Amino acid sequence: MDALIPPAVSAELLRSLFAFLKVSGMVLLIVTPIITVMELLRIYHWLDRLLTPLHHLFYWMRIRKESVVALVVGLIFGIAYGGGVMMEEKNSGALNKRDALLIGVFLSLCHALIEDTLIFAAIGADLLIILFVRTGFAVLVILILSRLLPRGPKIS
Amino acid sequence: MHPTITASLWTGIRKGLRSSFGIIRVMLPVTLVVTLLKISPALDWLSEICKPLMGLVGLRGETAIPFILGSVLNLYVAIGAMIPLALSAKETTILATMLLISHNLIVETAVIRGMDAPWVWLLLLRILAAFFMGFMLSWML
Repeated sequence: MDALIPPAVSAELLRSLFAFLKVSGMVLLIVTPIITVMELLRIYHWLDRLLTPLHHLFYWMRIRKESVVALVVGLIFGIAYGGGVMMEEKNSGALNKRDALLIGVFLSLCHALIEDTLIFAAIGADLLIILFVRTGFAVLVILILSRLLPRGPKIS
Repeated sequence: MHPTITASLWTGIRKGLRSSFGIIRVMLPVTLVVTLLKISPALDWLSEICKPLMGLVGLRGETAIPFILGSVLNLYVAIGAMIPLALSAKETTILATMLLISHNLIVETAVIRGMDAPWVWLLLLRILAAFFMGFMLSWML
């Protein structure tokens, strides 16, 4: 009597099952520590101390120091978090249109750089390529845009 | 006063584990459905239809499934759909780059809109940039 499931089909099911278990293990190994570190960053406000050096890193964008916070939070934690910081700034009236546009464009092109990049690297993508193609493209767009836009009134 | 480092560490680890299992739970049904499609003739048929689109970036037609799912929903759904397809390293790199630029478009466009950024242009930019980068990579790798 023939097997209930053809061997080709069961082989396919098994292959998918093993690949799924492997990726699940990687998700556990990658996502858990990243979320843990992010939680610590958030609880102890470690990001605040990095802000001055980070402001120098984003000097070329010519945005306000307060806007750098939204950008960095978005780049590390994801667009929802960066957007949240921007909303707070917007509501307090501190955000100008130029900064909002530049950060909106930057974050829509690249965000959550650590988690997303590592997950794809774990399933077999080339880490350096996926990281630099994305950030490189975003930086290029922002470089052009920040030179095209007139600088807003000087605040700080 | 801050909580102790041990307490914070535990909070973080619990949150991390919850996210990880949340992701795994999202991937499972997608992996299952795409595996079933692969066993049935449906995947070859879908692949034929999507060939002109994904052929632009040097990928097989069936990669349209993770690309579209990821663009509309999220990256983990896309990864769940990539698992049964057994892509090569080159294909994974190209598809990953495209998905990293264009993903979760419904939710993220809403956020971009809230930021007062030109969301229609940015939505178009993300999709076009994904294909442009995919094309460049398929040519260079």
